[in-house]
Amino acid sequence: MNLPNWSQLPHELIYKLFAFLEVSDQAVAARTCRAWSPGFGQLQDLDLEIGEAVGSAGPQIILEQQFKTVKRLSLRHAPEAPSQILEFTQRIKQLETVTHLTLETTIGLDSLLGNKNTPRLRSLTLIESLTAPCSHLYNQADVLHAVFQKGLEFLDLNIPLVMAAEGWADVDVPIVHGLKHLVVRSLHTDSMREFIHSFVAQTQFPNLETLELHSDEAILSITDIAVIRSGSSCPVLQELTLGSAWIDGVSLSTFANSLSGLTRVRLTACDIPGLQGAEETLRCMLHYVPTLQRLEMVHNRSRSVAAPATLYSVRSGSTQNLTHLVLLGFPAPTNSVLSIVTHAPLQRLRLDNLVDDAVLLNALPPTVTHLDLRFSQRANVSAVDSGYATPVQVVATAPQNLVSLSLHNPSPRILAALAAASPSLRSLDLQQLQAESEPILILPHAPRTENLQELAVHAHGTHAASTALAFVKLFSSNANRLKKLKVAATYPFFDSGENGESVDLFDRSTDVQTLPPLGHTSLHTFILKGLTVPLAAFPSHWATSLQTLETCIPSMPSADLHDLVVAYTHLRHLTLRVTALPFPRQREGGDEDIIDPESTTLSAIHARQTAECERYADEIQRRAPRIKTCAVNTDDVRRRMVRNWVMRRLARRVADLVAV
Amino acid sequence: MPVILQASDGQQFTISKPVAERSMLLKNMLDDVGENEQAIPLPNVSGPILAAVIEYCEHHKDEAMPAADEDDKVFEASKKKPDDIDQWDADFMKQGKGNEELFEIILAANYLDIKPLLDLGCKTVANMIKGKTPEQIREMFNIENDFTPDEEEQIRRENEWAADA
Repeated sequence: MNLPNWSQLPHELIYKLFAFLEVSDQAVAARTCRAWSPGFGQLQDLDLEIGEAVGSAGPQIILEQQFKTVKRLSLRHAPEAPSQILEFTQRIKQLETVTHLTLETTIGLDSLLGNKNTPRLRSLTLIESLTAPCSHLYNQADVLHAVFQKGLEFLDLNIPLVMAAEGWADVDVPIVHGLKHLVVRSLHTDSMREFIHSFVAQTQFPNLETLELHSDEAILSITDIAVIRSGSSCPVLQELTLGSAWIDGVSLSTFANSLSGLTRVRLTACDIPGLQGAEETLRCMLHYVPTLQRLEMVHNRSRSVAAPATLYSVRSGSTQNLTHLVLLGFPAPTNSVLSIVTHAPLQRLRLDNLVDDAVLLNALPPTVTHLDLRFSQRANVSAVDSGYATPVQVVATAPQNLVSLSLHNPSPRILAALAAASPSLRSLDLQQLQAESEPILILPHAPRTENLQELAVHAHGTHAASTALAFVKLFSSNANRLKKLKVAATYPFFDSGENGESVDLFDRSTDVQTLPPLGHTSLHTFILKGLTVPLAAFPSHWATSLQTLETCIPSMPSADLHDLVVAYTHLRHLTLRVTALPFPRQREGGDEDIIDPESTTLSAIHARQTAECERYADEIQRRAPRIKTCAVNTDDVRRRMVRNWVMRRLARRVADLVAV
Repeated sequence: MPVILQASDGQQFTISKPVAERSMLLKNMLDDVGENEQAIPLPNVSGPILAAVIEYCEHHKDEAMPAADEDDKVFEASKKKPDDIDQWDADFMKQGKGNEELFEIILAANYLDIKPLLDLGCKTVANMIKGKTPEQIREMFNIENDFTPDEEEQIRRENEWAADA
């Protein structure tokens, strides 16, 4: 076969090839020959931080000659040259292909949006930050006028100072055509009222489906919501999202009533009157808003102590649309929520503050595909189960179609029933596994993990490392398609040792562990935290599959590591934590005094260790230049010292108390 | 009903229909002319390259076909990531394939209209280009520098802003 001349590749293939390159590599590849040079600029997404180099090339060259096909453009200012961005907004003429624009200035916007400029623009995100040049003290009505007249589908206004000034009343756009999704951020009480009563009330949004209002503790009354919900302003509104708002109303039911007819409601960090338990809240929401498809209530609160909540009965039809339910931050236990949604067509369910309970498994809707359950601390472990040695029975009614499962602090029964039951599971995340005793895990049959691609296991307790690895072994042995594996162990502050004396065990990451057999040829990410496995013990086939590795090494430089980075031909991202750097000795009797031959203060030692780590990271990248990111970290010696000091004081205090 | 393909050098391959249908060209052809015992001639693809392409299609025959152009999704930016290569695909591209085979596979994937294989070929080349100098790229891909020194300098200056972008 003759050697092919790659400059003879057809034009459309050259363009396609360039579309996979970063801008900086495009610039280099375009210099190889005439045929390849038009490849520069073949990108649909372009993020420009407009500093010296970009600014001196100028908007004509970059956007009108080179990047003529950009669809999604983001222009941000560089802090060292803030006004350079104005060159771009003032002198960009057409932007004919741009559909999505993110802009970190509001100056010159009316000309950018006006006339025949930006004819395809559908989505606009405006950001105002402290250093960027913005028009916050004048012309705000002009800016908003131009923006709302543009016929956009999506608009995100993240421009706090424009909102703070009084300007909404001057925005005279009677009908905002086409807008489907509006996000307004950083509203405070005055600007919220101004926005709703001077703008929304006077304007028609015939296509608006989603309204997101993120505020800074702004007060929002039921009357305000009524204005938004009135048919004359937003006749087709489906979704309302409120962030950090103080809902000013009489009761939860008046608030829920004001949302009736919506299909999606998201409330985050809001103050909601009369908010009580998860079950009462869900019943009330479903009673007034039976159309709900998605409900998310995350870490809301109630500043007033409400009268006992009305327990609304849930009619049979009122959960028939509900597919997504997220209830977080309600007081434990939240189990009774399940009795309401058992027959709902739920696909995604997230609940926290659950208590382990046999009824729970039978109440999970069988349609669920994405499940995230967090159990609150089990007060009396032995009363609920007797450790991981108990043979458990898989409950037949556990959801069979799970794709993604996340469990925090699960009991063995829950774990076995859910994690072992679903053959379609692709992602399994186990957090806060209890590891107070040696793990002896008996499951009734091998877990169904043939489609598992991501596995994360975290255990906490004196036997955290061995417990985490036992679970990895259990769930990875049949998972032939595993791509990502993450293992983490954390240890309790205190552990009562054999002789009744307390030993500090908070950092046992230097304890050497052995990996279970991991034969997966598809694994590309391996992350190990809080435990150490010798690099030489890694399976040899990882050398041709692993792309991302995060692990602990006892010391640097490490000969094993040097062998590894040469042998691992696919490795691109490497993160290392050095666990056993020499710790400064302490003078007898004086806790706070440090003796280190080279440094006098902890800060100096810390600075020296950090510099050593950085030098070592550079050295590794020199040995293996194909590694794109390499980071070497170590514990802050100052924090370790304080921790040791606190530990010793506490131990002494406990010993004193015991003696008394 | 198996499908018979004939490469430019006359070599014939008998494959199953789901394997053939990874190629949009063959799929449309089979839809149009129906099943047929005659070999389909592929004059643009040589035997060894066709064998490699068939190996790829065999491995991926059970996967869902990629969606058509996703550019029109309004709110989802789909960034192209050359790092995101499946392990089997990466091995497939490495096994005994020099730049000649890579070139031919890209052309064959384009001709047969097998989008995932074309993407895989382009990603592989993009990964080889990353971080190199123009001279290294020319050497690697047998490209002749047809710029005058002045022209090259001008292009370098025009694109200079992108070096730290």
